[in-house]
Amino acid sequence: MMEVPVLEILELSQSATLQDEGRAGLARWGVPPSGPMDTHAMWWANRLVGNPENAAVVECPPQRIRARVLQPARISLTGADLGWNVPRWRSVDLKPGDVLMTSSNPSGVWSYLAVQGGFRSQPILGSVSGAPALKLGHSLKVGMRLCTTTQPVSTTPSSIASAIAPLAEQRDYRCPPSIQVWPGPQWDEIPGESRDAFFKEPWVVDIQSSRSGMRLQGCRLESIQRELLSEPVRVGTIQLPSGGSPIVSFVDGPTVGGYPKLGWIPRASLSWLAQCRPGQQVHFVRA
Amino acid sequence: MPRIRWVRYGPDAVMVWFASSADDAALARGLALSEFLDTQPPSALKRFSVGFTSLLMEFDQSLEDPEIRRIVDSLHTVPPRVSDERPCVTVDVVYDGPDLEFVAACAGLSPQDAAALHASAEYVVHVMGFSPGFAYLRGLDPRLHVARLPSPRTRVPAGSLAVGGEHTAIYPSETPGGWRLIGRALQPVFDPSRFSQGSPESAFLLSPGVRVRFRPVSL
Repeated sequence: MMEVPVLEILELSQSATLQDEGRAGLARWGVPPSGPMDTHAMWWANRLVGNPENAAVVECPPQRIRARVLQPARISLTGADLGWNVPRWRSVDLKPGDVLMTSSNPSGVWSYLAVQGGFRSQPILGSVSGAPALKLGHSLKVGMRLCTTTQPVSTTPSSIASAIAPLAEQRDYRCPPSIQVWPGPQWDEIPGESRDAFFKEPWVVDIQSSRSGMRLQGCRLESIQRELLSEPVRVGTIQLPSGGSPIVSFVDGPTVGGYPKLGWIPRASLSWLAQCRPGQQVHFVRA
Repeated sequence: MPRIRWVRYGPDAVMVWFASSADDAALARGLALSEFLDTQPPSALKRFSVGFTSLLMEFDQSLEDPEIRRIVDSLHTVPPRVSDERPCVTVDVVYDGPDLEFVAACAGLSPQDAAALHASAEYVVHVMGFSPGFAYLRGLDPRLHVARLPSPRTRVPAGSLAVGGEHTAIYPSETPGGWRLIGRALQPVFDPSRFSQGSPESAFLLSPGVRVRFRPVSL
C-alpha cells in the first residue's frame, strides 16, 4: 500500500489529534480507550469519503488551524462548526495548494476531518488515537505532514458525484436532545432527592472540559457518605464527588475511580454531550 | 467465599463486587476471576477490568437480567489463585526522592532506614489505573503509610517511586500526581514500543498479580 503525504499543517493554535477506533481491552493496565469524542461525526466523516467508519481522522477542538493540501484529495468535514472554508457534511475534492482553514466557532466543540484512504500513522498500543493528557498516540504539530494509506484521487474527481450527509444527520449542536442516562452502580445508594434533582434540574457545561471528562454546574447534589474503593469506570459514567458537582468521564478519562457512580450515558447520547460548549445547558432523561 | 453482589452498569454491562475489603483474599479472588474470564469467557463478553474488590464486564450486546445472573453465577465456582504461582519482578531503584525525609520523619526513622524498610518488603500489583502502566502495589509497611500531598504536583517525573496511603507505585510517565516521592526506578515500567497485538502485556513491566521487589542502588 502506498503512503502519500496529503496534508501539511501550517498553523495550529491548540492541540489536535488523530483518532481511530482507539485501544479497547487495555483497561487492566490503566490505558483508557481513547477514540473519537463524537462517534457520530467521525463515522459520517469517513462514510462521506467511502472509508470504513473507524478509519483514522483528524479531531480538533475550536482553534485557528490552517493546512495545505499536497495531493489531489477527497475530504470531508463533520462535527463542530469551526468556520472551515469548505462546506461541512459532504465530500469535497481538493487539489494541491488548496488551503483548509478555520475562522470562527459558532457551534459544537469537536470537528472531524477525513480523507479518502484514511490518515496513516504509526500505531501506539495498537491505535493511532492521540490522548494528549496521557502523552499517548499522535498529536498534530505545525510542519507535520499527514499521510494517507492509498493513492488519493488523482483523476478528474468532479466526475464522481460528491456525497452529502442526510439533513437529519447534520447535527445542530446548539439544540442537543435530552441526554439519555442509565442508572450507575451506586444509583440505589444515592439519596432520592439527588436522583430526582439530577433529572429535573438543568445542568451547565463547565469551562474545564477535555477529552478526559466534563464537569457539570447546577444544583448541589448530596452524594454517598461512605468511602469507595477504586472501581472500574466506563466511558460515559457520571460520577458524583462529595462536592456535589457531577463529572462525566470521557474517552481519555481514568480507567478506575473512587467517586460514586450515579449514572451512565450510552455512546449515542455521549456524542451529543461531547459537542456541548462551556456554558451550554443540558438536560438528562432516564433511558 | 463472600457472596457476589452485582448491579447493572448500562444495558450491556455489569459491575460485580467479589469482596468487601481490599485485602489479600480480594487480590487472589480478582486474579482468579481475571484468569477465568481470559480462558473461559462467557460468549457475549467483550472486555472486562478489575478494581480492588470489583469487576466490570462489558458485553457486545444488551443482556436481560437472567442472562447476567447466569454469567455472574458461573463466577462463584472459580477457586482463588495461590500466591506463589505469580511471577516476580525486581526493580532497581535509587532512594533519593524529594519527599523521602518527610516520609521517614512520619515513620520516626532516618531516611536510610525508611528506604531500607521500603526495600525489604515484597509487593504485589493489586490494581492498575490512574495512568497507563500505573500499578497500585500492595504490601507497604504500615509505618510508611502517609497521606497524599494536600495539593498534587503538576508534574511528577516518569519513573518516580512514590508512596500514597497504603500503596506504593512507580509513575510510568510524566503526569500530575499527589503521592510522596521517595526515589526513582532505573528501568521503564511502560514502554509502548514493546507492544504487540498478541501480547499487550509486553508494553508493561507490571501486570495485576505480579510480585515486585525493589533493589536499592546507589549512584
